[in-house]
Amino acid sequence: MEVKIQNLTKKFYSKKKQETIAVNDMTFTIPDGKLAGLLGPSGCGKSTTLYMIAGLHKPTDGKIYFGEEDVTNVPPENRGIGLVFQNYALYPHLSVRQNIQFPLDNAKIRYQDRIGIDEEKIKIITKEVAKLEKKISSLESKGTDVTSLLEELKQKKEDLEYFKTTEVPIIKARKLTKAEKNEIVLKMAKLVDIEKYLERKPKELSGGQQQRVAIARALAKKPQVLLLDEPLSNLDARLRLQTREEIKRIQKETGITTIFVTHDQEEAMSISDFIVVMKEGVIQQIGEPQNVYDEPTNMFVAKFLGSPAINIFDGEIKDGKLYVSGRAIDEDPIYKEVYNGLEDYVVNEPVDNSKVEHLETLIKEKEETLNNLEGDELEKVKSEIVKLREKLVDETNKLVYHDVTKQRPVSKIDRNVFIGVRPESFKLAKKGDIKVDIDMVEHIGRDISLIGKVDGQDKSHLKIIIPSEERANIVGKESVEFSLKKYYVFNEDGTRVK
Amino acid sequence: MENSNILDQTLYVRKRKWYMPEWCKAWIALIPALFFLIIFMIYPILNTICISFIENFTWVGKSGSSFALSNFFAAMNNPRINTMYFNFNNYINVLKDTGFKDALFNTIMLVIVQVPLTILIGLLIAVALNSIKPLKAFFQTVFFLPYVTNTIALGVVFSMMFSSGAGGLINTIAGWFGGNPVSWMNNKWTMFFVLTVYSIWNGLAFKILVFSSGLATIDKQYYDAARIDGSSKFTIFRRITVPLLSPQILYITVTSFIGAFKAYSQIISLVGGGATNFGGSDHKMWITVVGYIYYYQNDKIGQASAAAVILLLIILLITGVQMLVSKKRVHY
Repeated sequence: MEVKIQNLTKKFYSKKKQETIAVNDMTFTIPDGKLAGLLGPSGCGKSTTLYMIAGLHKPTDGKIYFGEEDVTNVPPENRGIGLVFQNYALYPHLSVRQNIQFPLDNAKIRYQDRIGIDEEKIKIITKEVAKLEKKISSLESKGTDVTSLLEELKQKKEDLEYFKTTEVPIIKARKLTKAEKNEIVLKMAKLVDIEKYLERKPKELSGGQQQRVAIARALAKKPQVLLLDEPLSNLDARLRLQTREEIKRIQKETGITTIFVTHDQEEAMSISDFIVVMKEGVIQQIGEPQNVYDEPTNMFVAKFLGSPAINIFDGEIKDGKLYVSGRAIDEDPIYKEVYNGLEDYVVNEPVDNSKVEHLETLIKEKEETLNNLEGDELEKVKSEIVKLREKLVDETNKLVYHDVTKQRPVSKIDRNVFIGVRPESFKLAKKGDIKVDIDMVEHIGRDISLIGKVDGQDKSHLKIIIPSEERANIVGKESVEFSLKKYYVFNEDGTRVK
Repeated sequence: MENSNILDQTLYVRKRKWYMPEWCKAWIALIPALFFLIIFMIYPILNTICISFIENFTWVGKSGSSFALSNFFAAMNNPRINTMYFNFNNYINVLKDTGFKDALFNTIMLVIVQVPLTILIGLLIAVALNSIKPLKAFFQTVFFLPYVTNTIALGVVFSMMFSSGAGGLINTIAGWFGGNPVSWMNNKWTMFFVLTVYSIWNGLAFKILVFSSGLATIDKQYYDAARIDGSSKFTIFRRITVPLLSPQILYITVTSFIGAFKAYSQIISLVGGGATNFGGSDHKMWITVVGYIYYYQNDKIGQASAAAVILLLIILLITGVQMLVSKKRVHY
C-alpha cells in the first residue's frame, strides 16, 4: 500500500499559548512494499510524523493517503496499520499467545455466503434513493440547479433495479474461529521465531524477545502499513545487529510497506530501501541511503550520515577558484555564480510508457527555456517543472524528490565556505590539495586512522582513514600531503555549492 | 610527611565496635504499635472468645481484673455466685434467637445488594473521570464530599429527605411527577431502598479515589495499542482496564465486604435511637448483627460475644474465598 503525505503539519500549543511546530509542511511518497526510514536527531518530529500516519495524533494541516484513500480523518483502528511502540506496550497480564491474538479477537473477515438476491443492498439503496429525492425536492423549491443530483438519482434507481432482479454473490463479515486464530498466531510466531515462548508472560521474556512479540502482534492482522517507533533503541549492541536483519527479512517475506523511525544513521542506512532525513520538523533530503551518503544536499545531512563523521574545515572562494589555506585546489565556473537553485534528482528504474516519455519531453523543453528566463518567470517555470515531476511519479512510481531546503542566494560571490571531506576520501600524494599536520596515528588493523589539523587552521580537527599499506609513507612525518578524492563545498548557512 | 596532602589518604567513616543487628532494630520499631495493638485489639478479642464459651458470664467485682478467664476462676472459687459454665450454650441460644436470625438476614441483604453495586458504579465513575479533561477537578470534589462528611450528619439529612408523609423532599419531588407520597421509614422494603441509596452514595467516594489512583498508573500506551488493534471502548474496558486494575479491585472488594458486614453507623444515623436502643421498637426491623451485639452487650454478654465470634467466622470465610479467587484473577 502506497503511503502519500502532503503538506503535513503538526503544531503543539502550550498553556502559555506558545506554539511549537513539530512537523513543518512535509511531503513525500513511499511506494508499495518498501522499507523507509525516518532519520533525524532527537526532537526533529519523526515520531510525531509516525503517530500521525498511525492516526494517534491529529495533524494540524495536511493530508495522508493510503493508496487512493484519504485517511486523514479515519481513526487508527480503521486504517489497517500495525504499530510497534518504542517500549513495546505488550499487555502485561496476557501471555504471548494472547497478546498476538488480541487484534484477531476484534477482527472480522469477509466471506461469500451464497449467490442470491442481496436484500441488505436493496435496503441500503432504497434508503439512499429516498434521501436523495428529499434533498432534490427541497433544493428544487429553492431554485438551485439539480441536474447532477437528478443524474445521480437515475443511476441509483438503475442500481436498485439491477439488485432487485439479478443474483449477486452476497458478502458477509464474521469473526474468526478459534482454529483460524490459532493458525494465524502460530504463523506469526514462526515468522518472528518466538514459538517456544507462546505461553510466557511478557515480563518473563528478554528485551529482544519482547520486541519480536510486539512485531508479531502488529503483523497479526495483515496491516497495509507497518510502523515501527525506534525499534532498536532499547536493545544491546549485539542484539541490535541481529534484530536489524530480522526486521529486513520479515519485511521482505511479508512485502508490507514499512516505515520506521530512528536516530541511528548506521541502522537506517543498513536496512532501508530509502531514507528521509529530518531536522526540526523539516525534510532535509530523501533518497536511497547510498545516494544520500554520496550526495548530501546540505551540511546537516553530510554531518549526520557517516561514521566516523565527515571532516569540516574552512575554505575560500575567490575569483572563481576554491582555496584552502592559501592553496587553490579547484577551479569551476560554479564558483563564479551565486547558487540559488532547487536540486532535483531522480532515483530508481524507469518505466516504459508513452505518457512517461511525453512528460519527460515536456520537462526537458521547459528546462531548456530556463536559461533564457529570469526573475518571476524563472520561478514560475521551475514550479511547473516541479509539478510535472510529481505527475511523473504518479505515472511511473518512479521516486522523484525535491530538495526542500531551497538554496538561498548568498550576498557576494567571493566568500568563506566550508569544505566537507569524508575520512575515506583522502589519498596520500606527493603534492596534493592540502597539507595536514599529524597529531596522532592509530592503527586499527585494516586501516590507519590519523588525527590531525589542516595546515594553517589551528581550530580544525581531521580524522583520516587510509589503508594500512601506506604505513611506510607516514612513519615519522609531522605533516603529510593529501589529495581529495571527493569533497563537498558548503556555504556558511549549510547549503551546498558543489 | 612534610608536603603530603592530608586529602590523599583514604576517606571513610570511623567504624564502631558493635552494630545493632537488623532484627533488633525491627523489633524496636514495632514495639510501640504492637503494644497498643495488643492492649486494644488482641486482648479484647481473646476476652470475647473466652466469654462466648462461658454461660451466664458476669463480671465479678472483687477480682479486680478485666481478664475474663480470671473472672471465671474467681467465680469458680465462690460457689455462692457461681452459675457460670464452660460450654457451647451461648452459641446455641444465639443461633436459636429469632432476633439474631433477623439481624443476620438484614445484614446479608444489605451486603449482597450494596457492595457489588457500589464497586461497579465506583469503577464506572472512576473510568469516566479518567477520560474527561474539563471539569475533572470539580467532579472529583463532588464525588469525594461524602467521605469527608460526618456519617451521622449525613444520615440525619437523608432521613429528613426521605421522611414519610407529604412534607419530605423526595415525596415532594415525586408529587411534581404525579406520584404519591411514600412512607419511606415505616415500611421495611422502602427503608431498604433508602438504606441502599445512602450506603452506596456514602461508599462511592473512597472507592473512586482508589480506582482513580490505580487508573493513573496504567500506561496510556496500552490504550493506544488496543485502539490500533481495533478494540471498541467496551472491549478495552473489559480486557485491558479491569485486569490491569485488578489489584485495586481486590483490595476494594475485600475491604468493602468486611465493612458492609459490620454495618452499623449508617443504619443508626438513619433511624436514630442511639447505640443500645436501635431506634426503638418500631425501627428495630433493620437491626444488623453489630446492632444486635450492642443491644445485648449489657444483659446477655455471653450471647453478644457468641454473635461477635460468629460474625468473625463469616467474614473470615468470605475473605478466604475472595483471596482464593484472586490467585487466578489478579495480575500484578
